[in-house]
Amino acid sequence: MNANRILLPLVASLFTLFSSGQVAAQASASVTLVKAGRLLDPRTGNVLSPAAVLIEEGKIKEVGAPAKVQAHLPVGAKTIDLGSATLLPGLIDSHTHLLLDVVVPPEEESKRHENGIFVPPLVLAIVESPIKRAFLGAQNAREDLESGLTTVRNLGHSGIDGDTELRDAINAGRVPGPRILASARKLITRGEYVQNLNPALAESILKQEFLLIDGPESARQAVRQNVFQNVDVIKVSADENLTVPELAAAVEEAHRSHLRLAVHAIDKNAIQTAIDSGADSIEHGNEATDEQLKQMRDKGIFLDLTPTAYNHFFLKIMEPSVVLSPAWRSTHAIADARHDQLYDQLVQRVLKSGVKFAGGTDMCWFWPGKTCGQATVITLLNLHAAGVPALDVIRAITTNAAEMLGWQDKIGAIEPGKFADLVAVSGDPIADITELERVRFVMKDGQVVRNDLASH
Amino acid sequence: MDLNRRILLLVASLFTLFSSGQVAAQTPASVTLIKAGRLLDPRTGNVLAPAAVLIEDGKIKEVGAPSQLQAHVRAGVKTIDLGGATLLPGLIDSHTHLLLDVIVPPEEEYERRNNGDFVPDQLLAIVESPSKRAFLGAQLAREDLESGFTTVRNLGHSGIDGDAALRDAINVGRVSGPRVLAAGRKITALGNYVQSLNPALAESILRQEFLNVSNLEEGRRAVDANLFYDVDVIKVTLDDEGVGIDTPVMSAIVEETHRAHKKIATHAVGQRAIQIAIDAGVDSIEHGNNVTDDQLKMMRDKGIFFDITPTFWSGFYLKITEPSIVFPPAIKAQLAAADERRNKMAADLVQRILKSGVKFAAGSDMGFFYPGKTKGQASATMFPHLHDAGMPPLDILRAVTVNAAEMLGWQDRIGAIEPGKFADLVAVSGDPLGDITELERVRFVMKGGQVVRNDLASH
Repeated sequence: MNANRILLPLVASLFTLFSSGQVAAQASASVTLVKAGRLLDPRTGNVLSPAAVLIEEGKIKEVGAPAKVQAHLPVGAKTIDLGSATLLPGLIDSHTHLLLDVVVPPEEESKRHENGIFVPPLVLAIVESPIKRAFLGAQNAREDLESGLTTVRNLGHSGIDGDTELRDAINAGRVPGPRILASARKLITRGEYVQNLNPALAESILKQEFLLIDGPESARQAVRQNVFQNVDVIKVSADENLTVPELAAAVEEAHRSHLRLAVHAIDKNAIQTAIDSGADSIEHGNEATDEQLKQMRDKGIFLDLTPTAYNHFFLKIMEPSVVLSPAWRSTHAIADARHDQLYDQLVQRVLKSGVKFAGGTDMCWFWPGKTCGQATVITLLNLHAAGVPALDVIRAITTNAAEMLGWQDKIGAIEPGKFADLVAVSGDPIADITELERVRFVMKDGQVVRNDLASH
Repeated sequence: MDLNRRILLLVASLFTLFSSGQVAAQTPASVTLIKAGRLLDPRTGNVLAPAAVLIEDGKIKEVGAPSQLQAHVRAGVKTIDLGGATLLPGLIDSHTHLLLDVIVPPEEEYERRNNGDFVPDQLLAIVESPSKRAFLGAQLAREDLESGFTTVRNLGHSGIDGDAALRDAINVGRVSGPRVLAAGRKITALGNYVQSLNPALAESILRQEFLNVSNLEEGRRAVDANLFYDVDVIKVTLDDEGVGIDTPVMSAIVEETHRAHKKIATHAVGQRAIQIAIDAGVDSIEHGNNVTDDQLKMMRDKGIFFDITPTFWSGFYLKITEPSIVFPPAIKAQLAAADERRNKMAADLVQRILKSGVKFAAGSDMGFFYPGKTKGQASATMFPHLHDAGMPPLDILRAVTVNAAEMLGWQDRIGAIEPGKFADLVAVSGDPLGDITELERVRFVMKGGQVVRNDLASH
């Protein structure tokens, strides 16, 4: 056992070496200099102008004025000049679902097939081939990376091992994509998400996507099953049926394996269960009370805001493809208005409370005409529309998210020792946050993924 | 039923539209003009110089002299000038394995784990996660396309539905890759490929990769099981000695396959196996190394294709193993002697095939990891291998374009640069008839009218 423990970190560090660039294998010290008009540090809001970042073997070695950094440049180093663009740390989506893209069906379909949420694509994704789903994941991962998301946390809906395998395939260079923290199957109580299945098939179907919690011991076992799939994080969905002893057992088991535990909780009872059980982050948290926000702050529990439905998201994704009856449209419009009003209030209460927060998209929806990455960034920026100042939005999806993920030593800031995960935009994202919807340059691990500024 | 068929056809044609370019969906008539110093038609060996190809909505519309074609296009049409390069039809690998990359283990591993072929990677690929394998397929498909293979036929070793799902993912643009003809699971007799498994697991493991048959009814059912996963072709492996699947069983498999309007490719190396395949009326014989002249004549007369697989010719095994495995001198001498025998066999086989008049194509059978090469580069080693064995360059080109297209039943879509065909093109800098290794250095790849690679862009 002990020998295994020693071997594992060694293997892990070898993998890191590999993933930090095939280039590294070719030229023994691969050095790149990135120059840009400005570099925004989300931690302080300070701007370095002009700026240069020296990258060696996929990691940031030095940050400073070009004149200073260039002096340390070895012969033969590659230089990428981004002109007047603004550099930022790579973006992080702390709550996504790369292996699901729900196409909202016509109204009639939602009514006829009442088998849970995300009708019918969630059930279809489970019962169709896992291989088919793997390729969906490959596409969404590539699209996320191309839009500047260099790290994502995938919180469920990916079959038994879809997200862990996607992570490994990306790390081995088989397919392009962001760094992934994978959670494998969601821990849920029976009756959530999928219902009314053929009894002859129900157990087999559920087992492909979920681990059912029914008592503290089953919660522990569920965590261990995910650990067997080599997950990076445990995801639990809390509803009124989940008890504190159950969730606390899952938390304890996760922490024993040095994994963080993210809890889906929307209503205040579920949120209280998560707080009392010692979860590391509360996902969504829409109905958190002021008292709960205070408790979270005091216990250091992160709130992962998911402003997915904000600003008529569902109307926007449905309008291009399904006919909305006047009644349906009006139902949605009323619900949207109420949702946005409550969300604006939540944001103000969160900002006032001092709770640590990050931002995630909960993206599992097909938005006609947009890539997964484009839909993701637009959704993250809903935080700004809901009242989060631009700098705080950027913090939420860089430095704060890195801390929530426990990767504050690897990502989330442009500083020596961190992975060279960078993005650049043409304008000033503090003045116009929608600049992030138009990321022009993406680098992951020191490798250029995208550079629309190349002519500079 | 009729309505269903009609909807299916409609859906199929919609998918074709999609796969022939997302561009088409954006602008109603996407037009590209390609100019190059030379265009070689493998069917005739004729060279058109200079040459131009007009592409509309992913298909070839016109081929001719640049001056002539330019008269038919509006000013400002997107033009790709490939300078002095030579254009060829996109290459076809008619026998590959996109979801397997065997790393040959040290000699000791072979001796210890005698569990069948491709030890231990074949077995590991089956028992590890199908999702993991899917991503391997995505990588190898991309690498094949980047080396100029715009169409490949995947003949097994891809789990239950790995190749069919990969094909679909490529067709809808999820991942990049060639057109794929998928075979699903190999149909074979019990005992081939994987052996000596834990009896408690054996049936479950085998079922993930193979359809084992021993009688007529199982033969038909195996074809139907693959059809359920929407395969394009049926692959059968016959044991060298013809054990397990005899002519009546093979005939039932062929009949069931042809009833579904699919072609059947048969792995047959020994003479007995080849004879069963011929007698049962298969569409192609894969490998066929030990074929007799008489059998070549029978194949020619029945129109059965010979799919040559020069994988292990020209010292391939030592080339892929030496970077990673230490061989004792005795073993190395054995391997070198085996290479020499194999090369002689190859030279003899190529001469006899050319003389016989049998129709032939060539496939890489690439299910191996070649250190330092991508999958596409490894597959392209088949070109010099065929040439080393005495096949003239023009015949090699024909084998992997026009001949392969006919063998696959896709002669109306691919294999030649002519109006109506998919715009699947490659270009090389030099003259592939003068130096066949030009095909290992493809500089430009287009599939369905979309540029995959262009190293000639500076021209």
